Amino acid sequence: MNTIFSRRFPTRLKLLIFVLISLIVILSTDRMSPYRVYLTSLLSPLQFMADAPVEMLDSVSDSVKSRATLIAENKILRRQELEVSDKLLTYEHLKLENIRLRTLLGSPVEYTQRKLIARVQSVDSDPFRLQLVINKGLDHGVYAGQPVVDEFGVVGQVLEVSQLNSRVLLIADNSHAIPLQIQRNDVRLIGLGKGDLHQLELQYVTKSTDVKIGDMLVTSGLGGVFPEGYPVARVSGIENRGSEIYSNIKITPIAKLDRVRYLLLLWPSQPLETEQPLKGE
Amino acid sequence: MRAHPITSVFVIWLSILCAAFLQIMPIPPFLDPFRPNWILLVALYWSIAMPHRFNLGSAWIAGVILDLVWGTTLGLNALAFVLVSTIVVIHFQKVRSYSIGHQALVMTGISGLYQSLSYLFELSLSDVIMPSGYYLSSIVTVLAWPWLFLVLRKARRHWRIN
Repeated sequence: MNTIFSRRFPTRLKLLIFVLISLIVILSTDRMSPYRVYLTSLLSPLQFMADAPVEMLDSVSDSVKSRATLIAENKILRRQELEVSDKLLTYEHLKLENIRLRTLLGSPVEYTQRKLIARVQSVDSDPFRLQLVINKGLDHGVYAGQPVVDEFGVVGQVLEVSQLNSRVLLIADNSHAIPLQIQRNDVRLIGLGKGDLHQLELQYVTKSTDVKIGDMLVTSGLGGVFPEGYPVARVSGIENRGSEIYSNIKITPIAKLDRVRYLLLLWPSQPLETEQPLKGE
Repeated sequence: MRAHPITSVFVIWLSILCAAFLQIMPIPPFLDPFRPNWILLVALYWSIAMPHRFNLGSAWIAGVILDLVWGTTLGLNALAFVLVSTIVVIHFQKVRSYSIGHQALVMTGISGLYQSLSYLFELSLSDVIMPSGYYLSSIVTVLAWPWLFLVLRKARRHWRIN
C-alpha cells in the first residue's frame, strides 16, 4: 500500500485524461443539458438549505409587523388597487376590440395563458454571470427558455431547470440578447446585455433610425421566447460618432434587476403548428 | 485504529458538500467579493493530506460540484480545479511539511492561479468582463486557510481518516 511508487497511473497521464474529459464536457454543453438537470437536482437541496434562514427571517418579520405598518401598507395597496382597476376598466374593452380587429385582419394575437409567482432564492452564483435562482422547477412545469418578468418589466429567461428550482439568466447578462421594438413607432431592434445590471445596449441601429431619449422599448415577440408587448427598457443615451454607420445607444432596464425578490413566470400560449420549427430550442 | 475506508470517503465528501454550502450561502453583498473559494480550498487540503484518497479525479468531481451550484458551463471549473491541484499533488510532500502560515501563502497563490485560469476559460467562451475586486477572494485565502486547515485536521484526527 505504498502510495509513492505503486500508483496505477502516473499523475501526468491522469492530468491529461481529466483535461480531455473536461474539454469534451465543455464542448458538448448543449448535449449535456438533459443530464445536467439530474445532477443539478441532486445538489439543489443545498440551495434550499442555504436559502432557508433568509426565508425564515422573512416570515418572522412578516409575523411581527406592527399594526401601524400594516395599516399604512394596506392604505398604499388600496390606492394602488384603485389605480390599477381604473386602468383595467378600459383595458378589457380595448383588449376585446383589439381581438375583434385582429380577427378581421386574420392574425389573432396570442395572450399569455398561465402565470406563476416564484421567489428568488438568495444563493450565490458564478461571478461572471448575471443569474438568479428561483424556487420553482420542473415540478411546477418550468422549462428552459421560459420568459420571466417582474411587476415592472422583463427580467430574463429560464436558463436551466432542476426538479425543484431553476436558474434565470438576466437580460443584462453578457450572453443575452432580446428582440425589442420601440413602442412609439414599432421600429425593431435588438437589446444586448453588457454585464451591467443598470444598462443595456442597442445593436445595429443606423444613425437615421428614429430613436429618441426616453423612448419605451417593449418585446417584439420575434424569436419566439418572449411574448409581444412586455416593457423592457427606456432609451437613456444616444451617441453618434462621426465616422461610424451605427449610433451607440444605451438603454436602462425597467425591471429592478438588482433587487428582485418575487418574479412572474409566463407560459406564452403555443404558437401555430407551422411556427413550431422556428421556436426550436 | 484506522477508520473504515468508507468512513474516510464519506467524511471527505461531506466536507466538500459543507464547502459547497458555504460557497452559495447568502452573505451581505458588500462581503461577497471577500468569500474565499471554499470548495477549492477543501479539495486542496485533502489533496495534500491524503493523496491516495483524494486524487485528481476527486478534484475534478469537486470542480463539477462547483459548476453545478454556481450555474457555470459544465466542466469549466472542473478543468481549472484539475490543473491547479496537479501542482499541489506533485509537491504534496513538500507542501505538507510547510508551516501553516507558509501553506496559507502557497494556497493564496494557487487560488489566484485558479481564478486567472477560470477567467481565461470564461473569456474563451464569451466576452465576459472581470467583476471589480475579483481577486479579493484569493487574497482572503491567507486568512481563511489556517482556520480551514485546523478544522479539517481536527476532523481527520477525530474520525481517524486514513
